[in-house]
Amino acid sequence: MDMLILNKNELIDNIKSLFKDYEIVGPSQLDGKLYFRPVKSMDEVVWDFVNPVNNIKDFFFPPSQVLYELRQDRIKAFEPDTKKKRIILFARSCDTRALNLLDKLFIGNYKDTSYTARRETTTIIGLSCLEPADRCFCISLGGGPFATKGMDVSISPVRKDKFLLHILTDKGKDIIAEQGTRPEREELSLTEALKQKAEEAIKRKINIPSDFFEKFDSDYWKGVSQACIKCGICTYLCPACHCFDIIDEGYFRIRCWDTCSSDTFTKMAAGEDHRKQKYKKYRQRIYHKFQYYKENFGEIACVGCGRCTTYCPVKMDIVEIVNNS
Amino acid sequence: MRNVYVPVPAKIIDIKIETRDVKTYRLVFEYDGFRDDFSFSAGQFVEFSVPAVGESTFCIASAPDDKGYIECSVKKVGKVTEAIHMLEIDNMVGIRGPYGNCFPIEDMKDKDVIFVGGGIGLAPLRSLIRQVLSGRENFKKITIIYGARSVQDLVYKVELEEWQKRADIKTVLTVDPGGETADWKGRIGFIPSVLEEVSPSGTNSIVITCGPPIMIKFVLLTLDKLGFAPEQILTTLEMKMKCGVGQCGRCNVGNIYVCKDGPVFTYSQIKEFIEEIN
Repeated sequence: MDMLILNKNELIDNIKSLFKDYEIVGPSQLDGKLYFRPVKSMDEVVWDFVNPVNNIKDFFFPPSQVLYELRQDRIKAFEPDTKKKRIILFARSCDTRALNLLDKLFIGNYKDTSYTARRETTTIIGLSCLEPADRCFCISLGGGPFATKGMDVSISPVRKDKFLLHILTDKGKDIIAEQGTRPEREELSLTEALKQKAEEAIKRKINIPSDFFEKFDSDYWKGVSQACIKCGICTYLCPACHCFDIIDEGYFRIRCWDTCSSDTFTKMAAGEDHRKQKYKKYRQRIYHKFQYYKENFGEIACVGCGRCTTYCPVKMDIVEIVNNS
Repeated sequence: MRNVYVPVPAKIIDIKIETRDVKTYRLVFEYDGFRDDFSFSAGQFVEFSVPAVGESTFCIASAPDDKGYIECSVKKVGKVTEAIHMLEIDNMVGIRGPYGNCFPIEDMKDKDVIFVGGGIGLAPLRSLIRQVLSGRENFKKITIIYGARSVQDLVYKVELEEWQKRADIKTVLTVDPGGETADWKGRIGFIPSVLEEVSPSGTNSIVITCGPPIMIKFVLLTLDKLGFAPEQILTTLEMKMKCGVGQCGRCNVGNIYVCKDGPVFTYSQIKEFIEEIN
């Protein structure tokens, strides 16, 4: 793992040089809100933020994509453009950790060809989190504001105009052209101090009860799910949620995001539905994330970004709900 | 790397009308290499696509030894199945598969094998029955108990006659009270009570059952009465599916995906499911 110090101008120059060969996705404003979206220049990129509304899964597992065209006389598959290389700029460690979680499913027994292709052609530059929000709880799930899991290059601040870069993978090596300087001990301590400060700022903790499995049949879920209006925002904005639907529009077969809170998620053609009641749907969401994914893939499918709580129209708080179960 | 969501083309070469709402489609793969390479085990399913309409899950009802084609029996219940029922011979459809696990036929050898089917539930069983019969000497007593709401609703009528003629298997057919015709020679009664009358032994035997949920419920109670342990009872589950390979999340129940870890399960496995599914 290589480490180097760049001052802000050197860093900006380095990134600017990448616009030529890569499509750059970074946090930028749109209609007063911050989103990860393709940007044309560094002027559009925001440096001071907590986390954009959307997360980086959008660029590997898009909200909707055409899989193929199916007609009587031909089947034409649509594969993503893998010649276009891409860089995701300033992703937070919660979002990059979530991508590793999704890898376990999409690059598992059956490799999802478009997801795999996008993973191979995308390089991720992460940015350490200096000021976590009140909603954040990444530490209690094994993450952290200065964590680097899932990043190809990680950028941590030393001072306002100086940054410490960790080059973590070969893909990361390919995009850092500047030589920079070797980090001095003093600079490393400054970064370490900022890291401590950020970690201490995260007060929220999720605490999954040790008998969570046994609580499945409890009436508790009926109570806590009452407010839910099945809008699906939590699913769409969650970096670790990944369930999808396959539908036909004309002759095109399309894969699009879906949510287990939808009425048709488990409904069968003749009308049977083993999860008709709302509390069962909500319970499925919680248990899939905190129990089943862990049993199948070894990790909980939640990274503590807090988007679900922030954007839920009825303010359902996943931390409270799990902690009190 | 093949995209797992893209189907291969298959042509309908035969359509058999089984009942007023069930048709059996015989399909041949047009895709070179796929035609001869496609092999499956009894219990597996395919995802059947109708262009511009949708895709549905159907178990393969033909026997694994039937080379060159597969058969799916389709009951008309919704949008996609209605479109399938309007297809004609020579129409092209898309097939993905085979997916899922299969019946553990090795575990059935040297045992009594009892099949209990209701209505369209005979479709997945038929694949296994034919596979078992093609190796008849490996199994002990074979019993087939099959029924439907009425004589009209019995599927695979030609095959049922063939099985009844065989001396080396016991075939018991029944229709619900009120479903008989004037010349019906089989039994009249609900499947669980017919099962109790036939009273197969629970010693060194295995039961495979498939049918509507209400039938399964009472068949399980009867089997318990007759002394069958949950490990001896196999069934194949139906669940809403989309991808068929354990990724889209629809058929996820507890830590299993019915498409990937099933659809064949023992009753003892189903009892362990964290969530009740009927």
